[in-house]
Amino acid sequence: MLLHEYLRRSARQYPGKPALTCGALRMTYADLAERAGALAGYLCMHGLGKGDRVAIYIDSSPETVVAIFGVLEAGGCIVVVNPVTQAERLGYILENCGAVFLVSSTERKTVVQQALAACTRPPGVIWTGKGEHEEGGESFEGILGMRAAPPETRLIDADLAAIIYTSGSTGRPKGVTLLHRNIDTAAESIATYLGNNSDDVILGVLPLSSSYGLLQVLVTFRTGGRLVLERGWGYPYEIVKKMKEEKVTGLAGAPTMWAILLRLEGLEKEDFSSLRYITNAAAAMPASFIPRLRTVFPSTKIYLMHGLTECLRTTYLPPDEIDTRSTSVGCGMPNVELWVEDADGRRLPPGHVGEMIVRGSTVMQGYWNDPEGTAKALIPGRYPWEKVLRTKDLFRMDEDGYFHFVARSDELIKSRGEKVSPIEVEDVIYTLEGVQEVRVIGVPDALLGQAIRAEIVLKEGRTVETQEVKAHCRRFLEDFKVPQQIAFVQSLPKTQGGKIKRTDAV
Amino acid sequence: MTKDDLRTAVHEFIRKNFLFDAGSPLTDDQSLLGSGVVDSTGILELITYLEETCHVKFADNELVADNFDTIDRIAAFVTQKLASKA
Repeated sequence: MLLHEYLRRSARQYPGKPALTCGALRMTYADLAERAGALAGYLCMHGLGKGDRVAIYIDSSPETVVAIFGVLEAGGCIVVVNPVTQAERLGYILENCGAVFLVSSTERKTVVQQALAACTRPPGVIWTGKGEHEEGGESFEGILGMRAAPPETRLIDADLAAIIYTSGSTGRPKGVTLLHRNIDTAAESIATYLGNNSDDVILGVLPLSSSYGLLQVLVTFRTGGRLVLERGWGYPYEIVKKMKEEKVTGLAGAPTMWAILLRLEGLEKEDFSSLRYITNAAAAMPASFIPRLRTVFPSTKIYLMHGLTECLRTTYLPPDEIDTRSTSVGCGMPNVELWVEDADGRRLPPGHVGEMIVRGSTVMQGYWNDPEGTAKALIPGRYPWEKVLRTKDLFRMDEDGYFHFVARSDELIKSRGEKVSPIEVEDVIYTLEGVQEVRVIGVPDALLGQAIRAEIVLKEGRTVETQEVKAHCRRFLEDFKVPQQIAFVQSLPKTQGGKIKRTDAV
Repeated sequence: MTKDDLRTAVHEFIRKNFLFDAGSPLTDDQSLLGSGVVDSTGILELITYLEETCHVKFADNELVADNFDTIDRIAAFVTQKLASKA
């Protein structure tokens, strides 16, 4: 099924049913579909062609959801950008994907204008928020008010649906390119194993720029449920309140979020009986969280999962297996085939550690504008026409086909469930006056999964303050990439070839 | 600490830790999460800073957007909290 058909079909089936709750605002399926259709109509009238990219750079809000479905219905390709992205990276993404339109909010005007200045062909801007008419570009509300007729799109599931930018080991973000059928295959499998249905009320607190957050939205509308959208989990008590008030049945999170939630006092006394399931992905759930999660959510199923943007989702552990296989992220979800390989491409038997390979319709088409990166990630598959995905994640498969995560085969740091490229952070620190050498590594951290540690050798006679380094990083990087630990050292460990080593660290 | 002192302190904290471009707008009624100035973890850092600077401890159920989403709301809430403590 085409992704925008999720909303269309549910709107035909349940027009008056609430589809979206965000703060005090409630929208029915009919309302939401009408808005998405109006945006789609406008975009088509203004030249958006099949597969043209539209970047969406606003925080999680009803406008984001309308924009996602409107762009897809118009035949465009969504590029949802993390709301904390800074101007330099936003500019890179807009330029790299060749965005034709950008939907953003007037609150982000300064960042947007700086980013547009870096574009050779700046996209047309559609502004949400206060004062939207004064900024040049179109007004989002104004466009919806035009009530343009939804276009007759003639898409097939081999058409472009989304580019999701993710940190790559080379430093620059990589645009994971996905077709309607890649995402639809994942959404169908997920809805199947989670048992999603039209009675579900799904609380969305994850950024919609991530595949995990985006899939939550899509799966909810595919199955006719209701989405309760929150702008992150910065106010953990509000999540608790929402869960109770809205009788939430499903919640997706990452270990950092569970850690913060579980620190709240008196949670055991709250009534979460409506909560059917929680899911964990993005990083491994520390085994120590499980008993407390069970105490707080006694009637809730806990799904541990694994996935990566390049193929959306790979595994899930059936909830009743948690006690017997607590170190496993489960086995392949429906309609994907997984195995582990050694460095020579040989399939390994159970018990051996190797790289996980993914085969199936969820596998991406490649990295946008990056044939070299694509050739490394997608390798020849079972048939001459087929490509399979190298995950770079090392796993061991047990006798029953359950996968146990071992490590990243490259050096990406996973902090707060986000991927951080050490090279990208190092590149920024290197631009700071007085820095001779730097290495950035991940160190175990109970809250973050991994904390980011920068070890810096200063040029002789120079002094640099810790705060200066952090401030400099924050200027160029998203929050989650800024090192928590800064250490000034005399020298860094090197390989024989003189390359700074990122292993054998603290 | 007066309301104005608090506003100034929060402005400085955010400028120092989250915003570095002097030209970036930061108004007292601007939504901190909504405008992308801070993310979920940033809010928690800001709350920790307020607890340390003002020597207060917020209850879990006080950590809501109504109390912390804008600098105005932070100033009003923390002033009230300090007054009730005194």
